[in-house]
Amino acid sequence: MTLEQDLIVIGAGPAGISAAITASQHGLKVTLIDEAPIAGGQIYRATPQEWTPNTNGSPDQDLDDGNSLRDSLSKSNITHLTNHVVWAVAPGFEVRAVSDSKEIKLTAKKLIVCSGVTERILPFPGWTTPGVIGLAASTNLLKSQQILPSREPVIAGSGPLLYAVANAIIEAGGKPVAIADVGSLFDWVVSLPKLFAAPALLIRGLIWRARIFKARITVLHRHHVARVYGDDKVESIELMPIDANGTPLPKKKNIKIKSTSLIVGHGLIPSLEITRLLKAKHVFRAERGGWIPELDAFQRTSVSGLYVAGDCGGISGAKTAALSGTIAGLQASFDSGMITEKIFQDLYAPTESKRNKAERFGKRMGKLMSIRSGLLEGLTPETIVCRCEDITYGQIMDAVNAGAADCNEVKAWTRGGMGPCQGRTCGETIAEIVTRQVGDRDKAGFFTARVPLRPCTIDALAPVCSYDDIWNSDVAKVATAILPAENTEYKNSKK
Amino acid sequence: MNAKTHSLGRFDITVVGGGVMGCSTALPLARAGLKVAVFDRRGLGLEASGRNAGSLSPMIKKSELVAHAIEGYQMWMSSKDWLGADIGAHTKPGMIVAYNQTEAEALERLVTDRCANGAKIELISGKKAIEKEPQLSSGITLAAYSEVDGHGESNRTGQVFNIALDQAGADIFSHCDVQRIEDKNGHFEIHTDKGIAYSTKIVLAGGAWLEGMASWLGFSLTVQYKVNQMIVTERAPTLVRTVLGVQNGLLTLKQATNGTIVIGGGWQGHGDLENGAWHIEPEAVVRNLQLARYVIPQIKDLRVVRTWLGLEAVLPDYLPAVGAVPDVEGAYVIGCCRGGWAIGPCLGSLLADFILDRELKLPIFDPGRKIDAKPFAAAGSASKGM
Amino acid sequence: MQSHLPQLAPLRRECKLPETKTDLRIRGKFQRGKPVEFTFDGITVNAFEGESIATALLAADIVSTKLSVDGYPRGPVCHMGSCQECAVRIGGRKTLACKTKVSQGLQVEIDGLKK
Repeated sequence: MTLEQDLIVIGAGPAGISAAITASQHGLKVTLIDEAPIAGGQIYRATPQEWTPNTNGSPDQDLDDGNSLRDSLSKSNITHLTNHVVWAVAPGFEVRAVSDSKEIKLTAKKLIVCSGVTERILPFPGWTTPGVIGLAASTNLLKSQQILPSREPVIAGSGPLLYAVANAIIEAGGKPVAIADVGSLFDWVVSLPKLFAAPALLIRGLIWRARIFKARITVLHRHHVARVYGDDKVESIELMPIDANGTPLPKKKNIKIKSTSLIVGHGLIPSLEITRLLKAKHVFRAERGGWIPELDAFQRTSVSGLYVAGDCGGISGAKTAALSGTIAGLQASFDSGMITEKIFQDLYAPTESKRNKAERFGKRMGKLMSIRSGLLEGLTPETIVCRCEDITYGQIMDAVNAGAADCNEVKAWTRGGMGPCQGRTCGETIAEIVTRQVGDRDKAGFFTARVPLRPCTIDALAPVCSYDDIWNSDVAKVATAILPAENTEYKNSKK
Repeated sequence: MNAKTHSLGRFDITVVGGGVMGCSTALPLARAGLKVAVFDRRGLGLEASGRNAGSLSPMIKKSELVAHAIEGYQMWMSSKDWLGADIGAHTKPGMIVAYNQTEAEALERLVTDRCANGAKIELISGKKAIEKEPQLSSGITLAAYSEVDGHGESNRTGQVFNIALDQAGADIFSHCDVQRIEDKNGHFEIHTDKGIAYSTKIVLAGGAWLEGMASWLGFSLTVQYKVNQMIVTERAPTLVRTVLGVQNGLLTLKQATNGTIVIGGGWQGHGDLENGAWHIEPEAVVRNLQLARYVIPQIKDLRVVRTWLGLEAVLPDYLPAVGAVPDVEGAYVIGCCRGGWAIGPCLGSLLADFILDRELKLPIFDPGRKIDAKPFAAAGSASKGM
Repeated sequence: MQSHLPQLAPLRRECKLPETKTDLRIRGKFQRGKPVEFTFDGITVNAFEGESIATALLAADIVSTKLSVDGYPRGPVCHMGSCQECAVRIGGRKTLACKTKVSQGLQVEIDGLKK
């Protein structure tokens, strides 16, 4: 089955929904595709369809914002494909997706990628112990699954999510044992002027801090996890003082805390598999989350017809995401000849100024979450870096010391990054380790993006068909046309 | 540091291209006491040498290469002894299956021919094939079976050679792009983005890029390449015991030691040497997998984790170039054959013997020979308009 | 590396539908789906429709849900389909516990090749 569209939007978060709605309003035939059963993305992830909200429940701003986005989506003409995992994207553009073991093909001249972010979790000794989970994972559990990740966790890492999660846990009746913030209080204070760009969000942040203070939860700034103890479950967590770069300060005293849960995260990283597959230009901007696609003011990438909106174009938060989505949708409409330059300009100018304002706040938040390479100084040779393949820091260092000089070389030598998570979890760590040796992230490079974009069963990708059907396909003809004669007799006999 | 004048050193012999061909030539030369340099634009063994499926199958090599393939198979099996590192090669029986009468007849001819050239292959019935490989689907007309087969971890090619060459005293210039070579009558100047190397002899081992390299020395060589697709699944309990192939050439399948299943068969991706822009053809992935599950139905439950492309360079007669560049004293080429990873160590050691004026155990393949066969349309252009 | 494999005893724990203060489920905001029962490695786990397997296992205090390639215990990390650490086996297939909803009678098995 092939669906021909004017525009495909991948990712139904605030950016994708806004982009799709805008383009659809201007007459483009749009398909919005996402793996979740309900639109909203990570930030506005909805609770399961099987559940009903209690009217007496406390209000939730994110839920309301998400519902209003979903509402406008349902009123539009957009084809919204839920539960579809995009497994391949090819130039031109072709998007292939699987759902319930059915594989589909979509084509369009324009493609807007709004694939959001994944969480960066840097390793430390014991981080693979069951019971260590992500900060973003915890928000997901609290919001869309309405469950506490733990009643008394230790929360560690960097960025605003630390306090958002701590706050949500307190609100739900739990009490974090301690918060270890990689950043200092000073980092937050210097951010304040920029944060005034979004007063509502700033106030929300201050309320979180006040509530954490009132609950008398220990907040340790410039601290990180030294080690997690426990074999098949977290038993205790040792925290250590660090300097501004994240490097451990061995002369100062570590603190050991008993808890069965550690929630940890070191910021968000743009999900770039699709823009990498399509060979768009990327630049490294630590303060925007790391590698980001090179974008102009209209959300265009270096590849004609390919646009990026939302956090996967650089960490900036939900508000910026929605506005950048609107701009991408507008630009795609203009590039498709659906609106005049005059209309485009009239609509673009006010959106752009709002987007720029929102971005000031978002960029500051992004900076608080940027990577601190010193955090890797606490690794021991036995610490696992690649969880899928059980590749240790020692093995990675052996490869680097023996001459492996970029991420893909380390991957080939060690198998680090070759497992089912496809390098999403260890990619940042391996890149940082290589960078220490070769000087900068540009030289260290990044894991080449590979199809399928998510592991997919062969059953879903390749439905049963006859031997002759396989042989008669166009791609089989291409493959056999260049085989030595002795292999092609079957083909010849069919003529 | 000016790349135009900075000297990278003087060498007896310089190998341009750090794949399996270049590295296996460089290693015996370095061990023979020559001052050897190896250049690669990226790291060692990252292109075709590190991207192929790691099959050793001598029975699917061309007649003229069967002896070389058996030697290559033995060398990889004993990599610890001569290379100093284990490439993770394991012996496994090889099997090629045919699903209809036409394929069966072609298979019979193939086996007769290969056996005449020294291979040990037997033809077995479909029923016998399923006894050897219980996961095979029914409907097999005939199968070829050989005990001399196996596979290795080709992704580690760069790693093992890096260590071996380093220990042998060779200088490795990885991430160093050779831009041109000048023949200075008596020595060569190798101009790179990092500086100039001076060398008495030169070996060109650039795989798909060999045609361009040969032209630096005014030697015209027609190199063609296929953009081969490979697929790998997640780890699984033992499911497949043989190195499997289908007679029509569109499927190779085996289970690596770590449990992953590697699926290939020469399905084509897109891209070309001039513009890069390599990308997978999704439909080719689907069809390759359909054929794989047709042959081994049980793999349907496994998840595909990764696909990738590797360039397979060939000359129009599908035989390699191993030997001296005509009319250029001190210049040699090596490369371009199907199954190059499997045969590479054998061809490399032969070229080293040739350069060192030692007796040759097996024939080499004159790069200046007249090739009658017509080139195929490049894979990149063959698939245009799809 | 395989000489000191940890024991997996805690997986074999009886688990009841928690109704006490220790239940991690947040009550009040939503009416959850119908109660269902499924099994994890033979242990009966109680859950509500709409919950992911990972959520239900967390609520049942089962945190160690798979064995890594070298046989070490692992559990869910990202809860959004990225890290693959919550992979379980359902009907002979690897499935992500965080992306799969619970259903009545579902048989979920621990994933991992024991060495």
